[in-house]
Amino acid sequence: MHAIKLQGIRVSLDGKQVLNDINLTIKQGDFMTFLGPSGCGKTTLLRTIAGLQQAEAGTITISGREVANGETSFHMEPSKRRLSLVFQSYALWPHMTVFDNVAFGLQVRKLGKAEIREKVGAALDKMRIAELAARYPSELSGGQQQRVAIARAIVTEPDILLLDEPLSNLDAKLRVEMRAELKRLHQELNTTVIYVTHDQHEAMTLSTQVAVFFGGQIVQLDKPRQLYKHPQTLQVSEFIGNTGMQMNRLDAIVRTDDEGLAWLDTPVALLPLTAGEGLKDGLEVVLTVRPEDIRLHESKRPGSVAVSVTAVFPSGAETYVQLDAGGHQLMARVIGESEYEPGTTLFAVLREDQMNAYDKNTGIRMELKYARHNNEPGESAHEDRLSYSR
Amino acid sequence: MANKPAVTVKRPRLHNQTLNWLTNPVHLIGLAALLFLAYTIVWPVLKILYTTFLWRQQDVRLTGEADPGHFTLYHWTRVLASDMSMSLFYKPILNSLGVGFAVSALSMLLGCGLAWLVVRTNIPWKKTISFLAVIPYLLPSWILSQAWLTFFKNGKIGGTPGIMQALLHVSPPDWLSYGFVPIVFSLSIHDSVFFFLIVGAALSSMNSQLEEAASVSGAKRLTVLRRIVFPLVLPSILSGFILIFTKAISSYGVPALLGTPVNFYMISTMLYSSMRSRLTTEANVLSLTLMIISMVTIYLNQRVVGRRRSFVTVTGKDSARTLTSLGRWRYPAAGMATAGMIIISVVPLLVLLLQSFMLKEGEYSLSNLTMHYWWGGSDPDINTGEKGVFQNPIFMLALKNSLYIAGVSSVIAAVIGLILGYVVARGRQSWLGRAVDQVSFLPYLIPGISLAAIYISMFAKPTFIIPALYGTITLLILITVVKELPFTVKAGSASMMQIGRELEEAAQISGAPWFTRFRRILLPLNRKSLMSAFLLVFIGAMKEMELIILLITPRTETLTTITFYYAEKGYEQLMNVILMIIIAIVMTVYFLAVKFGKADLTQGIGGQ
Amino acid sequence: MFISKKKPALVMMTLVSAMAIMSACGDNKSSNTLSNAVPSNTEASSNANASAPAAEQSTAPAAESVDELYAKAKEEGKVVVYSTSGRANDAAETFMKQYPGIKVEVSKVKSDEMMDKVTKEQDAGQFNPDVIITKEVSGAVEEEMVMQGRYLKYLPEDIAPMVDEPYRTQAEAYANYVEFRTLFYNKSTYAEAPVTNWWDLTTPEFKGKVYTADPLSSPAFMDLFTTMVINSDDMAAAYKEKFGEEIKLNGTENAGYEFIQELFDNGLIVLKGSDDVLDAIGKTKSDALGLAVSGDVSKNEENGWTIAPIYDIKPKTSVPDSGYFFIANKAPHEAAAKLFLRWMMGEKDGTGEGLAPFNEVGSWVPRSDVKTKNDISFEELNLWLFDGDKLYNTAPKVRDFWIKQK
Repeated sequence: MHAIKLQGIRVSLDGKQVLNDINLTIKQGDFMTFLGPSGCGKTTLLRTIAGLQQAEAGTITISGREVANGETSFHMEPSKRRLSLVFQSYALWPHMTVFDNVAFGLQVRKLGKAEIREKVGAALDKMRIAELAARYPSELSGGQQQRVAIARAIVTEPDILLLDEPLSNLDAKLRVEMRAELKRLHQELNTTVIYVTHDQHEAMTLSTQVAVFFGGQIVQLDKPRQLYKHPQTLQVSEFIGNTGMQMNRLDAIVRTDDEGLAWLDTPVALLPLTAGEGLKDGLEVVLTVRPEDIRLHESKRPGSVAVSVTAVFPSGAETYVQLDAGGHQLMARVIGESEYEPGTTLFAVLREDQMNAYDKNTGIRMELKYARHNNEPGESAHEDRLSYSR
Repeated sequence: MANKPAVTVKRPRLHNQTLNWLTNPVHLIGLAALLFLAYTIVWPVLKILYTTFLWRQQDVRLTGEADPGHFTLYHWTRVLASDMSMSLFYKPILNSLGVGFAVSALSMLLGCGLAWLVVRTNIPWKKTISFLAVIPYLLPSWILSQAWLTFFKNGKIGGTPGIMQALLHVSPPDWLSYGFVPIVFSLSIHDSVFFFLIVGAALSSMNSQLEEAASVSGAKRLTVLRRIVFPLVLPSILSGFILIFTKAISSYGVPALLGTPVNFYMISTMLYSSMRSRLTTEANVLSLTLMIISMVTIYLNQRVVGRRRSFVTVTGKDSARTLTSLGRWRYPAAGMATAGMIIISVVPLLVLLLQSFMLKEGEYSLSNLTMHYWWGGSDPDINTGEKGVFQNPIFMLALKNSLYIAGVSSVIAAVIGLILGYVVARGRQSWLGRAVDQVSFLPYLIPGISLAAIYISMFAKPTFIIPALYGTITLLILITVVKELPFTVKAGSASMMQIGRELEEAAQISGAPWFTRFRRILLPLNRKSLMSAFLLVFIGAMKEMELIILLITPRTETLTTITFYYAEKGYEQLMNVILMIIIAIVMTVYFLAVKFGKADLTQGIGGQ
Repeated sequence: MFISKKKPALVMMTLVSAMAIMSACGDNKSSNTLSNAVPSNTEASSNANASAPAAEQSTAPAAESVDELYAKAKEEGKVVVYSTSGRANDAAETFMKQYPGIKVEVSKVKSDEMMDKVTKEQDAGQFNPDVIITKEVSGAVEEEMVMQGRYLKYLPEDIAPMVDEPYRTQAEAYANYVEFRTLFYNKSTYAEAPVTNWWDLTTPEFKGKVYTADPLSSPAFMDLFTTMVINSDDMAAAYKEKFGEEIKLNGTENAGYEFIQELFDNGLIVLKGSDDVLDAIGKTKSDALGLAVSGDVSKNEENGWTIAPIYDIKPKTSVPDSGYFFIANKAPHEAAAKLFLRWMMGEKDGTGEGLAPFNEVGSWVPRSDVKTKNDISFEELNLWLFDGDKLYNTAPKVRDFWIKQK
């Protein structure tokens, strides 16, 4: 059963369209992350779900109940949607103690004093901050404030927990800690969580589903693994890739000949393709290859390209090797320690099944099928290409 | 709009839209506020406007063409484009604008500087300084101008020579003694407390990390002030600016005293003259021009504050406040601030106090000291037998009335101001918020007498659901509240603008209805601004005269009506006694608020 | 003499004898008062139909004895007074001792504000005040209040014969005290009045040495200048007397305007109020002159001034500024109002204690049987007539002229 269903949501702020035709279904118990750069509309969507923002068009259904309908301008009160929101700024009330901050929602619901004390105690325990109950927010560290904010959100036992960039104000160490905490919380509470972030890493580690936003639209909805492996557009790929080390990006052109042969002409190598429909001669393509998908060999292999090492960056358990392939820079990641001297010639194999190809004009991912390797034409064509480009 | 505009959805849509619009507290309150303002402010202003286009019986005096009851542009042409305009309008308006801007600028410097020292630095004696800062406002502004004259008057207006002339044997030039300069100084000293309180409240809610961030990035202290602190408290500063600007251009007492000797007339003095000469329409035209000027200023202000920029400084992500260290300047700064405050506030106060004990004015000897004016019995040789204040049976009645009117109206005015301020701050993008902002500002510019006169005819008979309020104390409270709206709404909106929307949304999601959010979240968070609004309105109401005098029917003496009576009789000592009592009351209220309200100015402004 | 509560018999005696005298001589003179008073109200009657009967009733000095009034007034219980002067408060205190059971409630309101207040009240059907004590506002009170029947004249038949003109029949109402604007000098500088003619002020001797309260904010000062404009022939004659030649007008309309212009040319200094003027010339030795209210002379000691007023200036010293008594239209406590008014007038013989606050140095009670505290009697004062109608219509023009002098 689905927890939340969004259909055709459209939202404008100050006359500027921020969200356009959003359709999304979130299953009960999911940890759904809205990922995207700032200004992409992900927070707006969160606020729309919460009821703090009104959709002009589209419907929102929570647990089978329609809570908003843009066509009839029906917008249910946020408080009736049985959800909680943790704000990016925490929005703790500075004039109340931690206890009062957490107890507020229960007090508003007119629960008995004893019950409130019990529930607040439980929530604070769950967030491991029971000892801070009597403090004021200004007397807490950032991480502690964060925990209070979450405690406040879960104390009312909402069906859905909304989190708006909750970790962005924390330092790196705390962030890791809180990430684990959130994961634990999600498992313990078994509520549906919607999590907004611009941090790819957070999205990958926490979520069961990720929705990537660009320009007010969802461009990809996938499991984190899938998203990582096959970003649907070049934009997403760049956004996902720009954590850690740089993604290798190769501009290529599809070539076909009269004999029905097709290959991809890249600055590094020629990659033969199985001909299929949609392969037009001269189609410009961008190839992305993750550093770990470049295998390095000391001897020549089928389909390998000769490269020379230009620099080596040891980075603990892995090593990044910067390569020069016929004047083009590539980055490869090697597990373990690799003692390559700069200048050494190696043979690199690009794992074609892990590469993603995008139509350069539309930015949309293309499914390319690569043919078996054939060294000879590749080699010569490669030489030709080199002289050609000079 | 809708993808499938079906007829069937139209009705629920309209219904829901209306419902949505109304369930938004900003709209609902805004609408109620607008109705209230429309009746209490807009309607009177329209009435005033209407009269300016009609001939009145009185106008037969001005010109033979007058045809009572008929339409005319005569009054506007007379003021704006006739051989009278230069002296009647253009010169005075230039003077008004000049004074308005100068007073606002100087008050800003004084008020903001002091607020910054007290709130953001580690200066000692904070409580003392912020308490002293309120005192000039306790004094009637003419006392400050009188004090100015005592120091700087020259031979021109005769009488006892000014202290400067007596000591240095230099006659101060006219520009120092009368006109623009002294008017600006007197008004600035009197009114800078508004800046101090509004900006102080804003500063104290500002996260100090914002400053630290700038310091860390290598900015010098002044740069931090200019680039970080100033822009963040900009809405408060602009509010204060407009407030004081309007107060200055509408003030009468100070320019009358200091301006007349050098023919320095402002619109307000001209207006008063028209009023007293029973050229009511001319007065109306003049006050409308003042209103227009202020509307333009507010409009510009709204443009500056803008729609996108955020001035939120209370976000709910709190951190301990660190204060700027003044280093070795700590004590000199405190000393200078305190000394300055003592000179401009405590000295005049003490002089007044001393005078209330002096049997004969101006005779400085021990034998001349007496308690007669405080609780002496009737002595035919003194003030034709007028008893000391505490012996006067009317005094207790007047005290009770004054306390009642001031107490009730200041509480109501402060809360209404905060609620309307909420509408203004949250509704910055909507016409509603802007309308409330603009309209709530007019009462300062409607001459008290005109407003009161209109209120008589509006409230003498029951209309709609409003009972006949004329003659009741309710009407006095209502008009006091309305008259103080400009200040309370400005203070409220400046303070509200500082509070992050999320703090309220967090409560909204928790299921708190608007009233609970207001009571439990917004009210406590705006505590400081609320307190200052309450206090200043209280002081204002205790001093208010013109407004009330016309609306009192039976003998509802207030302390000010007694003062008025004493002033007219020339019983200066008795007047000073009452003034002292008023000041003592205000101080008591102040300290009670500190003690029991926990929400006080010094502490509120000085940090948690 | 003052009637004590302990001797009711004596009170009765006095009252009865007063009645007797009144009815004895209350023939021609008093009916004159009546018949003169009524025409001035006929216009009002036609203007305000509803108020006309009440008007006649109030003004009709029916033979109401003090006893009758007191009996009725006790039923009414109180009297509401709108007063421009604090003197009413003083009179109220003695009144309440004299007539227990009647509470006097005094609201202090400026004359012009009082006009607005009463007009608005009456238009809204609220009839609050009983007694009106007001100054003129450049003729506006007569024009806008008296002629509209809002303020009603009241002069008891038995008192009328003793009242000096114009306040018996000619003026808009009876005035219980009269002040005026005149020049003051410093007694320690001048042994006697340094000027005798208004035109003296335009001579080099007084260049930059004449002070006045600002007529723009206190219209009563403007009234004096307006009266000079109205009586410009007088001013021209005085000019001729002073300088021995006909006046030459420098672009002004008449001698009155010319005087104002020359005053300004001679460095007239305008201060805020009457007190400021007297401070300027009276606080320390000074050879300057100041225009202020005659009544201020009583504050001499209080304020440490050494000032004296000049009571004879050519062509005329000044124009009276009268403290008029009225009964308000539809006064809810009419009998009490009349009783209180009588009290302030000093009762029939002018010796009542209620008059005391009005009979002071610098102000005159226009009653022939009341001894003034001033060295000069009211009849001897050389004053212009207060011509309300002309003032009302001329004042704005003079004000315009004044403003243009800036």
